[in-house]
Amino acid sequence: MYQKNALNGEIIFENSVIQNIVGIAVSSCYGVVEMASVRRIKDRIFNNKKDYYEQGIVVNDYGNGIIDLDVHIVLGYSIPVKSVSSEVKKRIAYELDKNLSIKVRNINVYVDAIDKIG
Amino acid sequence: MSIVTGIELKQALLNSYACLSNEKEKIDALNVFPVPDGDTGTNMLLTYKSGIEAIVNSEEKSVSKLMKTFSRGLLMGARGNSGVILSQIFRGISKSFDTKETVDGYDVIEALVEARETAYKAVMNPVEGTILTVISDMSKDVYKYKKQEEIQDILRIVVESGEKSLNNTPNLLPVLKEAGVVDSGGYGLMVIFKGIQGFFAGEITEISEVIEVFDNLYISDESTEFGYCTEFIVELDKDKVAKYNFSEDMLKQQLIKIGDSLVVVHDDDIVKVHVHTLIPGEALNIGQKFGEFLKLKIENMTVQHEEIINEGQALNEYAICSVSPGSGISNYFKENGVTHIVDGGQSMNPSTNDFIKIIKQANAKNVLILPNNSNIILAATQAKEIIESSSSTKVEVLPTKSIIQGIATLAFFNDQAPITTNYEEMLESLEDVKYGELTYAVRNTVINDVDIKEGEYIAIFEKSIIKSSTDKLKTLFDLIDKMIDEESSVITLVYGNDVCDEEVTNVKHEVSSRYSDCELEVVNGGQDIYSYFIGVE
Repeated sequence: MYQKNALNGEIIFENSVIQNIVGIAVSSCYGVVEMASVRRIKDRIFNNKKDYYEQGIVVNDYGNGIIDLDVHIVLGYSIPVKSVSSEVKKRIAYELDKNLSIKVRNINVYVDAIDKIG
Repeated sequence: MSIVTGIELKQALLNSYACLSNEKEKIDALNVFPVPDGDTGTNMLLTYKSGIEAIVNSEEKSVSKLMKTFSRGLLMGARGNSGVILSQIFRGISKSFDTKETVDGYDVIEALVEARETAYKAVMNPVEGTILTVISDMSKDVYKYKKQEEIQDILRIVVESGEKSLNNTPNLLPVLKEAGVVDSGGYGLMVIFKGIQGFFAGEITEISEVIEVFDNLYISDESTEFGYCTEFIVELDKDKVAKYNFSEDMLKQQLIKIGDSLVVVHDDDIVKVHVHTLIPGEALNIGQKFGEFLKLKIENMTVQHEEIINEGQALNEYAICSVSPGSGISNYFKENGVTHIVDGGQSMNPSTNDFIKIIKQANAKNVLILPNNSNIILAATQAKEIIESSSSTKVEVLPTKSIIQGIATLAFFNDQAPITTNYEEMLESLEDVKYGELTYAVRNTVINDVDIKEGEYIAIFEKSIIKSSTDKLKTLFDLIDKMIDEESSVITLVYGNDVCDEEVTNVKHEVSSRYSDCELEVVNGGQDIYSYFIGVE
């Protein structure tokens, strides 16, 4: 849960709000063919490709408005990993700032797999 | 022209590169999606350039081989979102041309269909109204003209259809409509296709001016680093100068790509260079092409920077970092053993990063932190965790909730004792001091049955508001009355910015006559918001 000091009272975001925004942003990033899940094997078995993509986004909340994000993705083969990863980071930072006025301290992008895309 | 060979295709690609280069700034300006950072044109051009560099010296006649080299070049140099998509589009085209020595109009149609397929495969949720939509519409429209075999006609249809699709992008993507622009990546793609079509229609484009594309590849990821200050003097070698066609401008252009703060001085047969770069070796390679070094100097500026910060400080045994909301309090802290001050307090909480910076600056084996505000304790604790996980520095955070607690606990610090002993003793001492604050209300409210009006003075005893009134001094004395009991022996008053000298004299006089048993200590704190911090021990 992320807390933000407002003028009077506080604004509190559930982590799932952040996960949703990041999930939508990342899944439309070019080169990302799948959101990996930290429960990848289980999800693979049940073929939960899109529905639970929040599983691949871990919000580490240190309190006092400091959060780090771990984002697990699967890229397509022949996709330049470095370019896409930095685009993903840029996109997440921009969307969170635009939508929630959150500044993320660190965004760690984990490329969990490379899928053959034909 | 119905059949195209590798030679012509190469010329067409070079032509489109010239077009793209001329339009780079316009494409940059159109960039509002996905992140409006105005780099689409730069990224596309750098990507395309990497493809062009791979084929520029090629005499390849086979279309398939040329396209393979080109698409590989694009892939290797793909930069940014649009650059990656561009590389995938050409990868699709190259796949479709796989075994073809020459291509005709029909092959181009097939290639565009394959390009669309390949481009779409690499994204989970494609966003329409982008470069993807443009290539998709192009391939769909051109597929209707299957019988057309003249390459010129096919390309004309491609460009027309692409234009139409591009102009429709604002209707598909609201962000574009808001900004009143078409998609920048799509525009870039159109520029490329127009360049190719233009070549076959006999319109040759020259690069209007050499735009210095500042390749910030080495800088973007490392913006916090300072790199190496690299200086060298080269004695120019006549043969090498002739061989590489040396000129001062040319040397400058090569060096500015890898660094900044560039100075090049050229005098007859000597050239002196000064540059700040993250890759000094590369700078030396460039220099050595033209002759031998007379003098070399490379200094690591990151180390220099750190040395400046740590200057004059050997590794200290102890450092005490305290948060202070005012200059007077800072001075008082420093006189009483605090080594480092973090500015902050109510309504201006320092961040974890501020603490980390100050701890690193302190350069000590043991660090005690006094947050002096309940809202800051967490940030300080966070800093402790980060520092302790990355270095051998021992950090303890004393949960001081008020300036008064910070001041009082300093008396229990013993620089000869180990940090754990100090921490325990100081922690225990926090319970012995009662702290209060006098400030003013910013709005009307009722808290703990105390009716508070805006602008009134409020007395806060530890965490609860006990009184609100328009009479400042009466509020202050009522507060002290509440705080004091039979065992009290010391009263500490820290007064703020808004308290004048006359008031201080009055208060001193009044307090010493009222509570004659107690010792009084008065400190000019210089803090905002709080008129007085009051401590009773």
